[in-house]
Amino acid sequence: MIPLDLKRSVVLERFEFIIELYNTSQVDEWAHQTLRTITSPLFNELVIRFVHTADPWGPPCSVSGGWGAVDVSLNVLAERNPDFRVVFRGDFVGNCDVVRQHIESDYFPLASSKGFVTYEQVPNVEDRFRKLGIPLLP
Amino acid sequence: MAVRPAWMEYPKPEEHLFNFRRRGPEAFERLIDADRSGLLPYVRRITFKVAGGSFDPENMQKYLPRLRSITNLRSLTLIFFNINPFIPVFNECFGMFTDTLRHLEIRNTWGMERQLLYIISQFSLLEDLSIVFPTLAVERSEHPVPAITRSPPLRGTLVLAKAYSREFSEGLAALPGGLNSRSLELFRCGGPQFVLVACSHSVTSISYLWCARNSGYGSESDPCVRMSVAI
Repeated sequence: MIPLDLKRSVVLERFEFIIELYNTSQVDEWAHQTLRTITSPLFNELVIRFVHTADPWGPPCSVSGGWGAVDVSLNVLAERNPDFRVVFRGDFVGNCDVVRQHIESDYFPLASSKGFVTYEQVPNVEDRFRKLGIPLLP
Repeated sequence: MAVRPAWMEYPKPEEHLFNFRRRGPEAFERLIDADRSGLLPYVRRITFKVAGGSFDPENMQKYLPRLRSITNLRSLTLIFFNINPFIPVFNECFGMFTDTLRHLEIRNTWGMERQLLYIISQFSLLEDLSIVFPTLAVERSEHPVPAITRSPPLRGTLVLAKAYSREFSEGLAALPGGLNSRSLELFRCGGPQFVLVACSHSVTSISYLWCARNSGYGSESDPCVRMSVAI
């Protein structure tokens, strides 16, 4: 999967990437490479939205463990813009605290320690995709 | 002065003065009622849906006399849209909307890429465009496509969902007026980089569905012809 090249997006403020679980092979590397291309000085919000988090341990436990590079990328973005924040958005099936703990301790410790990571628990996050005719995996 | 028909709902505060929504065969009757009441100029949104078949000029014939009185349409949704037969009669079928439409959504369409680009290019004030699950081919079309010499501003939201055709994304990016979208929603889109580069001066928000493989194709089985109208 070729990472997106966002170098030319000069007024980009927000980027949301949506990850289907069970479909996450190499997503960490893709995210890392894509985030590295963001140069817009206005960029201040990254949303990582997980869908189909049927795994009771939540999204971070279902994805591969190579998020360390993304963690570093997030800090580069935060140093560039003090208003930068990261939002984890997903249907965390009632384990938001567990998810948060894993994100903070295992996946994004650097970003979490800087305090710009937030969480949003969104039920029925898949509805939009159904309306768009995108059947996600059960 | 127009008399408000009994079936008309009272408007919600955030909506227009008149508001009614009906689906299926009733919609056509409502359209006739609205025509009698002189309300067609207030119609803002129309959805055409043909499940189990295609939406083509033949389906549209009985609506056309009334549709021509709709002079302020803002939003048009076409579902199961067969583009090819519309090419020679585009102005007859959609010409009344080309100078007012702001939002165009086309779902489950099939035809040639250039035909779809031509249809899009004809709506001179279009801001938001949503293309969902087009089945497109690049072969020579049955009806010749006129040259695309103009294109709409497209400054709002651009949604490409299950639009696997890289050539379509490339063609969209190469429209005469370019792409100026502020918001991009790319869900399983072929050639996303073409769109991103074309919008790089304007895009402030991107949503991107990362996927390594494609899921199955969705389908709908409702066989009836539906039209919904909102004023």
